[in-house]
Amino acid sequence: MGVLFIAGLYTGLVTSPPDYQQGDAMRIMYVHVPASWMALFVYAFLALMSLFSLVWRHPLAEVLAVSAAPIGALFTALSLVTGSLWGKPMWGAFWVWDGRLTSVLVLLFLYGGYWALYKAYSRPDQGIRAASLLALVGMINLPVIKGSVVWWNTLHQPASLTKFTAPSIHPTMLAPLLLMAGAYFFYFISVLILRTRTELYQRKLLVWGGII
Amino acid sequence: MINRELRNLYLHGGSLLAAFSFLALALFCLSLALGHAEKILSQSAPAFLWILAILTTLFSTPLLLKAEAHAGLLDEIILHPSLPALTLLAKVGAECLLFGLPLIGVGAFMSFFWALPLTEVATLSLTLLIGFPALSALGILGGLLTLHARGGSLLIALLILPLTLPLLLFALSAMEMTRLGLDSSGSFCLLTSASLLLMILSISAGNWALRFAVEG
Amino acid sequence: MLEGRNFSYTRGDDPLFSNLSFCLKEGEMLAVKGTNGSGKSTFLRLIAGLISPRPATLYWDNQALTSRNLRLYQQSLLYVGHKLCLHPEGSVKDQIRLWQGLYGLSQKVIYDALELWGVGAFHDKKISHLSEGQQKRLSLSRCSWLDRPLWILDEPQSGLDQTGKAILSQVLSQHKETGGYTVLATHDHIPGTVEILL
Repeated sequence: MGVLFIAGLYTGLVTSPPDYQQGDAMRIMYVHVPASWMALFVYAFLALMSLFSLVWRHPLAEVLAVSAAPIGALFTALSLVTGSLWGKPMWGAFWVWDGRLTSVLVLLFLYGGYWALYKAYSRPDQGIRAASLLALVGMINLPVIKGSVVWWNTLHQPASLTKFTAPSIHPTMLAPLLLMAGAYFFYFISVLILRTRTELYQRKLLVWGGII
Repeated sequence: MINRELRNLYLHGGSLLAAFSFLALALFCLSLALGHAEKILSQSAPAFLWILAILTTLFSTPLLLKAEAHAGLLDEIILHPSLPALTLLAKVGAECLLFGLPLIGVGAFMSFFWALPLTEVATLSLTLLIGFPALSALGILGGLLTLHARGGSLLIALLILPLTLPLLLFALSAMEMTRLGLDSSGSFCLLTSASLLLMILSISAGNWALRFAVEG
Repeated sequence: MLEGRNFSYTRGDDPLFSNLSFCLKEGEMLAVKGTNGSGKSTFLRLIAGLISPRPATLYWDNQALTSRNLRLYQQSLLYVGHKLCLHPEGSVKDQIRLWQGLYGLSQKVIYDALELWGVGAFHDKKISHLSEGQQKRLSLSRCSWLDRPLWILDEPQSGLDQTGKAILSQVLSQHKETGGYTVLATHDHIPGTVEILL
C-alpha cells in the first residue's frame, strides 16, 4: 500500500502536466477525486454489510460495518476539505450550496448518524440493528450524489470518467488518479482489518469479562 | 384501517395542535421580520415553510410513537393479523390527512401575505403534497429507530434530517424553476421519485425497526 | 397443545435462562414464577412471538413455529402484558371504538365484558382519569370479549383489589373449563397449575 501511495503521489505531483486552465493547483484533484470515490464506495460497502447483518445475521458483517464507518467518514471529510481548498483558488468560493456538495455533506452526516445511532444504545446488538436500518435507508443518497452534477448545472465538474465511451481524460492524468485510488483502497483495507481485529478483541474481552 | 389510525391520531390531538401552532407562529414571525423586504420574503418564505414542515414532523411524530410504545400499543400492532407495514402506512396516511393537509392550507394561505404569484403557490402546494408523506414516513422511522436509544430527539435530528435533504433540494429546485418561468417538470419528477423511494424504504425499514423496538 | 423446547435467552450479556422446555395441554395453566428481573416477562414475550425465540422452538398444535406461520399463531393468542395497551389520551368510549375497529366486534360484546369486570359505568371518562386498578381491569377485559384459545398474561393480579382478583380467578377458571391454555407470570400461588421457576 505504501508503494502505491508513493507512486501515486509522485506521478500526481511531478509527472502529470499542469492543466492548461488551472495550473498546478489542479493537482489537488488527485487527492480529492479518489477520496470521493472511496467515500461512496465505503458507504456502499457499509450498506451491503448492514444488509448482511440484518438478513443473515452474520456476526462478522456487523463488525465489518462498524469498523468501516469511521473510515468512510474520514474519506468524505477529506473529499470535502480538499474540494474546498481546490475551489477557492479555482472558482473563488470555499463552499457553494449546490447539489453535489450538499449531498456529499449529507453523506458525512449519514456516516455520523450511523455512528451516533450505534453508540446511543447501551447494548451493541440493539445498536447495530438500528444503525444498519439507517444505513440502508440512506442508500437513497448515493444516486442523488451521482446524479447531482447532471440535475443541476452547477459549479462542480461533470463526470469524465464513468461515461461508457472512452473516458475523456488524458492518460497521464488518468494514471495518477487510478494509482491514488488504489492507494486509498489499500489504505481502507488495511485500516479495516486493523479496526475489525480490534473490535473482535474488544468483543472477546467483553465475553471473557462476563464469565470472569 | 385508515379510519382507525385517524381516530388514533386524533386522540393525540393536543400535541398535533401544539406542533401546528408552532409552525404557524414561526411563519408569522418570519413574515413579520422580513416584512419590509418583500422580495426576500417571497423568495425565501416557501423554503422556510418546507424547513418548518421537516422540523415539526421530525420532532413531533417520534414523540407520538414514544407515547404509544409506552402504552404497549406497538405490541398490539405486531400481534394484530394485518401486516405491520400496512399499519405504518395507515399512520402515514392519517398524519397526511390531519397534519399534511392543514400544512398545505397554511402554506397557501400565507402565500398571499408573501405576495407569491399563483403559479408559485400551486408549485409550493404540490411539492408539499408530494413530499409530505415521505416526511411523515421518515418521522415514524426515526421514532422507531430511537425508541430505546439515549438522546431521543437530538439523535433523530442528526439521523433523519440528512435523509430529508434530497426532498428539500428537489422541492426548492422546483420552486426556483417556477419562479424563473422555466419548466419545473424535471424537478417534480425527481421529487416524486425521491418521495416514493423514501416512503418505500422508510416503511420497509420501519417494519423491521418496529420488530426490533418491540423486542426491546 | 403448546410445547416449547430448548428456550434460552440472553439479554445483552446477561443470560436469563437456558434449556427451558415445557408442554401445555388443553385446559392446563402454566405459572411462571421468579424474582423480579428473572426474565418472566421476557419468557412470556418469547412465547407470544414478540421476541424471536431462536434457536428455541415453539410448537403449536404439533407444528413448529416459523416466521411464516407466526402470524397465524399470533391470531390464536391473547397477550396481556405489563403495559396496558390503552391509548394514552382519549376516553373509554374512544378505546372501545378503537378495539371495535381492530377486532371487528360489536359494541354490545365489549360493553358486556366491561360490565363483567366492573368498569361498565365509566364509558365517558378519560382513561387517564381512571385509577390504576380500573385501568388494569379495562385492560384485562380483553380476556372476556376476545375469544382466543391461548392466554398469555403477565402478572395479571398486580394492581387489582380483592374484587378484581376474584373476577380474574373466575374468568381464569372459566377459561380452563372451556379447554383454553393459559400461561401466566405471577408471584402468588394459584392452585392447579404447572409451575416453572426462573
